[in-house]
Parts: sequence; C-alpha cells; structure tokens
Amino acid sequence: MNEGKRGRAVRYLLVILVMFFIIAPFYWIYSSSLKVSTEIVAQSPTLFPESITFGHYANLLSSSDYPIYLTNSAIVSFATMVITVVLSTSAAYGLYRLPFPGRKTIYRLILLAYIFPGSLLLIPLYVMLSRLNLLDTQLALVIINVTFAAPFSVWLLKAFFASIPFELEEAASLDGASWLQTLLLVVLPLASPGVASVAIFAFITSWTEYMFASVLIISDANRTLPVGLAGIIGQYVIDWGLLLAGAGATTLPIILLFVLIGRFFVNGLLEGGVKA
Amino acid sequence: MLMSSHASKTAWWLPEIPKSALMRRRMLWAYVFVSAPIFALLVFLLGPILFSGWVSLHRWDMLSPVSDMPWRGLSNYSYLLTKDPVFLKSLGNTFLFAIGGVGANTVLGLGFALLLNSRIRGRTIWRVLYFMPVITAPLALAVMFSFIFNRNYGVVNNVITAFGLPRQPFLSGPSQALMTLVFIAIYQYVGYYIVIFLAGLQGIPQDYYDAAQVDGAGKWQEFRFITLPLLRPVMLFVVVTNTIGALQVFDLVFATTGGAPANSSMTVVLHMYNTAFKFSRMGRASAMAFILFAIIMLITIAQVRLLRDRTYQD
Repeated sequence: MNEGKRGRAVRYLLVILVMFFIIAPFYWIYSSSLKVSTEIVAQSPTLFPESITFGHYANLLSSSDYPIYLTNSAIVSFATMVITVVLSTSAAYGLYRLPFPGRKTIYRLILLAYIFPGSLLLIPLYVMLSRLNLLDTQLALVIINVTFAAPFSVWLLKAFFASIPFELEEAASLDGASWLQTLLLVVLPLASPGVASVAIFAFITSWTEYMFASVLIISDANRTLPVGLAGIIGQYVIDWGLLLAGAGATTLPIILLFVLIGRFFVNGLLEGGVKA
Repeated sequence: MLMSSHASKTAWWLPEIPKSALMRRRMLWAYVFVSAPIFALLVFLLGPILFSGWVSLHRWDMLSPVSDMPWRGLSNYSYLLTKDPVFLKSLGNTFLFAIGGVGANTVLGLGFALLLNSRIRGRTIWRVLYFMPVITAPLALAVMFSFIFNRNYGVVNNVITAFGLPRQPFLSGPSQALMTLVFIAIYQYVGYYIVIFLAGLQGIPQDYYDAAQVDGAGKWQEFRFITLPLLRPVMLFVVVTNTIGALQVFDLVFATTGGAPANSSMTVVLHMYNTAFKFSRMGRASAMAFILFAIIMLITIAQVRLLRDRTYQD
C-alpha cells in the first residue's frame, strides 16, 4: 500500500517534470515577446516581464502582412482538410469494407506512399506544378498537402472501419436501407472519431508545412504563415522582439485549436495507430 | 496462439472482410471509391518519382526545355559520391542526427512510458500538452531555440554563466551545432512518443503479467519476455516513421543554422534544396534525392525485418 502510494507520487512527479520540460520553452517565448527590447536581450533574464508591452505584436502587424498570411494559411489548411477527409474516407471505405480483387496491392501502394520520403518529390513536383501554371497559387499548396496527408489518413482510418461489425451493414440492408443510406447513416457515424482525427491531422500538416510553400509561393500576397515567418528570420537586422512575436503569433492559433479539439486527434491517433 | 491473436490486432496488415453475398454485390463500388485516391497517387507521387529519376541522369538548369537536357549518364551520382565533400559531410551529419534523435526518442519515450504506465488523473490534458511541440511549425520551433540557445543573450547561457561556467556557442559552434539540433528534435517528439508507447503498453492484457507473476517472473523477465515482444508493432511504428522523418530533416536546420558553421550541420535535404533552388543544378539535386531514397529504403527494410512480429505474417 505504502509502496503504491510512493509509486503514484513518483509518477505524478514525472508527468509534471516532462510537462515542465515541454512547456518551459513556450512560456519563455511568449513571456519574452511581451518584454521591451532591452529586457529581451538583458544579461540577467527576468522570469516575468517587468512591464508588459504589445509593441512587438503591433510591429509585426505593421511591418509584415501577418493578417494576410494568417488568412492564406487558414484557407489552404481548411481546403486541405476537407479534400483529405473526402478522399481518405472514400478510399478507406473501399479498402476496408469492400472485398475486391487488387485490394492488397492498392493497400501496399498506399503504405509505400506513406513511407516514401516526401521532400524528395520537391523538384519534380515543382517542375510539374510550374508546367501546369500553378506556381504561386494556393491550389498548388492544397494539392501538395493533400498528397502528403492522405496516405497516412487512409492508414489511420483502418482501425475505425475495421472495428465496425459487418452484421450492422447486413441488418440495415435487410431493413430496407439503401446502400448509400447504410454508408452515410451507419458506417460513417461509427467511424467519426477516426474522421475527426484525420481532419485535424490534415489541418495541422498543412498549417506547419514550410518546404513546399517556400518554393511554390513567390508573391508576398500568397504566403502562408511559416513562409512569412521565414521572411522575418531572413531580415538583416535581427529584431528578437519581432521574431518572437512572429513565432508566437504563428503558433498561437494552432495551439488554441489544439487545446479545444486536440484530444479527439490524440485519442484517434492512439485508437487507429497503436491500439486497434 | 494467444500472443499472435493480440499481435494481429496491432498491425500494418489489411483487415479481413467476410465474403457474404451482400458484400460481393457491392464489390464493384470499391473501384469507384478507390479510383480518385489512386489517380492522385499515380499523378502526384509515382509520376514525379520517375521524372526525377530521369532528370538525375541529365544536366538541367530548369530554364531549358526538358527535351534539350544534356545526357550525363551516372556522372551526377559519381560526382556526389567521390567529388562533393559537402554531400558526404551532409550524409554523415544526417546519419548522426538520425541515430541520435531516433535512439534518444525511442529510449526516452519507452522509458518514461514504462514509468508512467498506470491510470493517471488528467490524462487528456497532459496528453494534449505533450503534443504541443509536435503541432508547432518547425520554423517557429527554430526561432524559439535560436533565441533560447543564443550565444550572447540566450537564457541557457545566462544560466550557465550564473554558475560560473563559460558561455557555449551551441548552434553557432562547429562541434555543438549538430548536437543542439538533436536536442531540439528530442524536445519536438519525445512527448509524442511517450504517449504512443503508453497506448501500446496499455494494450497489453494484464493477464500476461498476472500469469508471469504466478510463475515467479521478476520485473526484468516481465519486460524482456512480455512487454518487449508485445510492443514490437509499436516499436516498429516508432522507429520506422521517426527514422524516415529524421533522415529528411530540413525546416529546423534551414531556419536555425542553415547548415553552418562550416557545413558542420549541413544535412542531405538542405544540401539538395540549395543545389536545386540556389544553384539551379536540378540533375545533381535529383541524384541526391535518389541516393537518399535508396538509403531510406534499405534502412526501412532492415528495420522492418528486424522488428516485425514473427508470430504473425501475411
């Protein structure tokens, strides 16, 4: 009993220790972004800002097109999310619920696409998209992000589709439900935790993607947040206040989103990837 | 038998479908569902891969038409492997980065998961918090750690000097840059792997441990003969995906050191990116991509062979 209590105390301590390790850098960045410039680079760092200033964020808004980057990121990520969900759910339904010849080959192809190193496609996809006159468009980014998010999504959905009893579909069919009704009213609702995690996964992948966006986007008006942030990093004079505000503002929306709906993603990932 | 039934639930394999009359009637629809994703896969993955292989056998600046590319045979490959010291250096750095990052994340992830393996209050909250670095854009992480590890006013150096120790260059030091990047990679993923391993551990039925205890097995034996074998599929997932990702590291390096100082943190994908988009040598950059692809393929196959669950194969 005593041993168990001590064991539990140690476990909580470990959870908190790891949590501290993970949160401390975030705390440091956000608290520093609220300090005046001299305090940011002071030799004896202050744990709390001596006086809170939003000057760096105001500077970010006036010296860069942050609102435009934010809008672009939101548009690209949302479109990526919707298309990835539609494509991967339909592929998953075909692969995991319908027996057809060639099923195994296609499944293997999707797994191969998942482990294929995406960055190695940078050059050919750049050439292809420039031939299609899609350079410097948001559509190009959506195409790329869907291509990279979909294979993992199909794999993630496996456990959710596989866990739905086939008897349910048979029963619905006997009750006179059409096949489409069965799909939309029986199968999809039961797989919805999986669909939710795929949606969040696709959104995050798209939100944080930098490499392709950096070569496919040329004009300032089409930049996504990471590319905009790279523009600030690349400036000659390092303004740490501006940089920290930029990094903080790039990260804040996704953290807020994740605090609200992250548990669906984490649970879905665990159900689909590891447990089932 | 018991073992394999558990393992079969956790896998990369395709689930079976009962061959009832109803399912057979719907069979043709499968092609409708699968066709769009397969089309996308062929157009945006397979096509580009083949094209890239073709380009790697030529010299191309991307401005001249594809039909006019001068043929170079395998000379791009031989140049990279014998005459490009930066490429060889970047290959070495990439291996070190992957070995350090994957090794540390696997050991730390599994270690912490073992220590935490029981029902803990507020699971949802800390799981989500552990994921924070994973969902943060690598570029933002790069800014964060360039600041934290800054030589002159980074908080780490301020703490170090407060203890009377000398300032460390970290990202700006030739002997420390790569190790600092490994540290950032650990920070980025360790919470994620703890959560993954924990889920794997909680999927192992308690009965096995109970039975082992009846037979008088010690903690180490339980770990060695129950936990490790049953965690194999999870281990495979962690090691394979982490390695593939680590060998392609780009964003983080690009935005912190840019490969400097003196190429001490140059990685293969960053070198490829520069070769292609700074110096317009598409042929050589494509050859780099293929060399890296071959390496990743070989390593992945080796890892799957070593770690796959031998009690269940298709």
